[in-house]
Amino acid sequence: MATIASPGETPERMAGSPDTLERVWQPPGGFIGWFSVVNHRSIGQRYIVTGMFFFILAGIAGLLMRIQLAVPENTFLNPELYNQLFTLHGTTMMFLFAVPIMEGVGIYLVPLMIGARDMAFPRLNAFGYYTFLISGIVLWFSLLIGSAPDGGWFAYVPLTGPRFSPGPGIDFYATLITFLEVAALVAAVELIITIFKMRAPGMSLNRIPLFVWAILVMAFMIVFAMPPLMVASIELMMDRTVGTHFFNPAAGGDPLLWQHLFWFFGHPEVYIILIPGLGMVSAIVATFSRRPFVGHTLVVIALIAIGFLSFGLWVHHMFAVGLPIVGASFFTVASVMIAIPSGIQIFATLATMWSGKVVLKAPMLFVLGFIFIFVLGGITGVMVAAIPFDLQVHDTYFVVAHFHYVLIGGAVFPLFAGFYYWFPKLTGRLLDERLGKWHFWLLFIGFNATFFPMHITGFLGMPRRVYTFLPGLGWDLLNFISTAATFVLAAGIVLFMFNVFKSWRQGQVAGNNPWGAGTLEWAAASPPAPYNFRSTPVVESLEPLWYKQAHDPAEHEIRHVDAANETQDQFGLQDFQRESLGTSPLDAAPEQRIVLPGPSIIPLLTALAVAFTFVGAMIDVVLVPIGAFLVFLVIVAWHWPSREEQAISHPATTSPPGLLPTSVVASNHGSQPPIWGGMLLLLLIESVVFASLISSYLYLRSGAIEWPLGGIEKPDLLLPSINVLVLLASSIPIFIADQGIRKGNQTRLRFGLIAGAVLAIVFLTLKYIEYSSLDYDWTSNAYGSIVWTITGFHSAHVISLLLKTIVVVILAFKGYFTAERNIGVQVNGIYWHFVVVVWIPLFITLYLLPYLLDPL
Amino acid sequence: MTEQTAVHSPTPLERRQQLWLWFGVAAGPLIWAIHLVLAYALQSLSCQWQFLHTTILGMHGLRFTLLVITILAVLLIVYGGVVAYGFWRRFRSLEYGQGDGRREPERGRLPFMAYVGVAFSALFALVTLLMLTPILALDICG
Repeated sequence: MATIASPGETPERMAGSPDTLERVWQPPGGFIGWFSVVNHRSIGQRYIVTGMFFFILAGIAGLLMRIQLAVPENTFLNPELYNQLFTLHGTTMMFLFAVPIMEGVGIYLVPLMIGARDMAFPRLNAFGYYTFLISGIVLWFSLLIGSAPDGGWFAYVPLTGPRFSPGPGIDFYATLITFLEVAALVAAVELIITIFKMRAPGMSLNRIPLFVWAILVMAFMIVFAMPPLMVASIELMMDRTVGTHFFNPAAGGDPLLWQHLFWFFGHPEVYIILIPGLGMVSAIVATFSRRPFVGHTLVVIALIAIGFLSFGLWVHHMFAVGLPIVGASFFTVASVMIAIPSGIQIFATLATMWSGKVVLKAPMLFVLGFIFIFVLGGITGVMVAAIPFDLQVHDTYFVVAHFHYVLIGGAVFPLFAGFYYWFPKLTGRLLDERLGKWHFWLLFIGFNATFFPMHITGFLGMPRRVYTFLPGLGWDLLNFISTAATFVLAAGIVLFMFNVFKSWRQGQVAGNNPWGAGTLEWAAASPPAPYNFRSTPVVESLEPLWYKQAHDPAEHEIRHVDAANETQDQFGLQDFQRESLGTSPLDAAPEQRIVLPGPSIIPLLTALAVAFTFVGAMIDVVLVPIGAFLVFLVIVAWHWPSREEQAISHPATTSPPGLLPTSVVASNHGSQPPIWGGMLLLLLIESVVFASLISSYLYLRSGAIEWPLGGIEKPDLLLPSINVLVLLASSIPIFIADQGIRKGNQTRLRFGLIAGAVLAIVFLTLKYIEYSSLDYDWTSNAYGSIVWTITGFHSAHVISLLLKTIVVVILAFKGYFTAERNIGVQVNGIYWHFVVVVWIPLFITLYLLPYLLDPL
Repeated sequence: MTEQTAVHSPTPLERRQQLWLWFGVAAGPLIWAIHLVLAYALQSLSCQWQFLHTTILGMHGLRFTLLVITILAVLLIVYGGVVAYGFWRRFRSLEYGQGDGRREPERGRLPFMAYVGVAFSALFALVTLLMLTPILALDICG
């Protein structure tokens, strides 16, 4: 392990002035500068503000819906507009508010809570934000042109298929959902790698704060939940634009395939939204109970258990579609049992409050509101988990009441608690406490008066998603009460916005730690310096600030965090470039100095290029490959090292003796840089995508009497088998190239890469020959659709592999890679091997299963 | 402070022991997930394609198969819990401390992981076991 220089031995070069650090980390100003910012706090703030903006838009849509339902046979909205509004309300709340804002809070707080200066991939962070912003703008633009999606946020086929929704509305939905998922996945990868690789020394797994655990669990859930929805939305787009038949039963497709894929995402989605809320509650309750959170380890267990169990519940959204009762009942078991870890969280919260000395400030009020509302929602959740009960209330307002109780109780109330709690850290000022109490009571009363009657309305039989109802069914008064109460709820939100605007500049000055909290973010200034911590802190307990206070009464803050007389970081982080400490994933032992990029406009350009590709898909399919090529060009620009960075003597490559190695060369010094973990996560995401495609194939096969469909012959095996061997062989020269450059052998590197590329071209050529001789295509039937899609998707990966490798080859011939500096070759190599290996299960599925499953 | 703060390192584990510890931690949720997908797919396909429709030991073939795989899954999860418990017993007296006197001692990383494994095994064994309820009580292809 590299030794750490003590300050006395530091070469002159490294002793920077305090101003240098400020200058290097300061976000750029000006109009172009605003679009170049990559600092995590700026990006996190933007996520939060933009998320709240969409919350208000979706809330207005909800308010308009409630006005329409205030009285029977109302004509305030016509049915078409009503359908668009409830679709936008749900889509916006779930995709443009809840998940992005939770990610945004995580992006803002996690580096502060773990003692890091920024996140692992700052430019990727910015890219994720712009992707989210653009997709939200385009989605709401569709309302302005009268073409908003109108099939509900869950967009069931066949209603949303080409036959029953021929207009562009659902195209907006399917395209933009896919685009948004890119943003969510990008943020998830960021958060996971940051949490695993950038924690302060001493913050081993057992000392990670509960909020950080919650964000980690949320991020992993996103990695597993979003890809199936991407596959589903791409399949829907293909059915609508290029004539595939994934969901068309007349051609062997199955509408239930959509439901399975959607709800496999859709149920974890609600826990993705809930779990960060639970993390916020844990942080706040500990502080305002003046004691550490009771049962810390049990709550970690509960959070992770909820994350896992939430993936075993999805069929409970499909109890009414006619699935076999035994299979459906499996999901009742998990739906009921998830109450155990949820209950652990609630009881641990209560135990902490009970055994502490509760201070009832605004954040705690919202926590109490969370407990009351979320528990009620959880109780109705256990009720609908029982199939017989669910069959009675399915598609009624009872379900609407249930999910608003769990989502608003479990996410919105904790979010507001978090705003009151962390606002001082963001701004240096406290929100007005009196306005906060008014806000709470308006929200609490307004919410319960709006949504509690819906339990009864649902029992009385009022269906969901109806734009009006007849008088005399017993629903009139209840709907009127719900509508009137919505205005109370809205008043609470308006009051909150007023509180924010007023307090941002005129609020009471907060100081670093106005609440006397124990976690690391409160050691930084309020608001924090652009670099968060001047010197990386060392953590010795779960609540570092309380520990220090208990053991060093004269020390009220973590030392070395922001001391003005400290001219350098105790682990040797340099001031002249953006660096943050990299540590080991489990024990947070110092390993490397992670060199981080500065401001750049490229993330915005990349997001625009990706937007062009997706929006182009709605206009003309030919724009998709053009857009993809534009994306490739900006990504090359993103990663292309500058002339300065190419020099072997660049500071990111060399380190003075006694300092930790930088992330550029860390792989040669016993640890892996963040990009390695990022690539592994990308491969995990891709694996889930391919698994979803294989699942689609198997699902369609399971419902077919003959396979292949429509008299299509079983696939030929000779040419594809040869092609498998070609692809497998391509891994060998790539491996040789990787091993070669690790020993400094440029010849093996260059020619290994070229040989691998040649074999990939041979693979693609043979694939083209094979497919051009087929007598069916993706429009023939569901079999043709899935086979062409899987092969096309994999081939697109081989093409992207080729393009990446061309760039690596060019850099190789420029002599960029050395025995020390070759992480780019390693990362390219592992992606290559993945694309090769993943073809094996695909080959088995496409070519061998039709023969193996023939007797069935 | 000018001297380097020592960073606490856990008791080193051999690579094989690390793998067993991870097995103890991950066995519960992973085996539960695999079992759920297998059981759901098997039940659905068997009823649709009419295989396993024989009688085994007086029981419907599909019901018997689901019973066997469920019990196997539960036993495997419990085994994972036993492995985790062994690590917990070994480590729980080590790496404690640093509590500030106001609360229970804080666990080190290794006993923390072992404790998580024990709890996971208990919860996921129970969830898997409860899946026997519909398997045994309901019409298997209803």
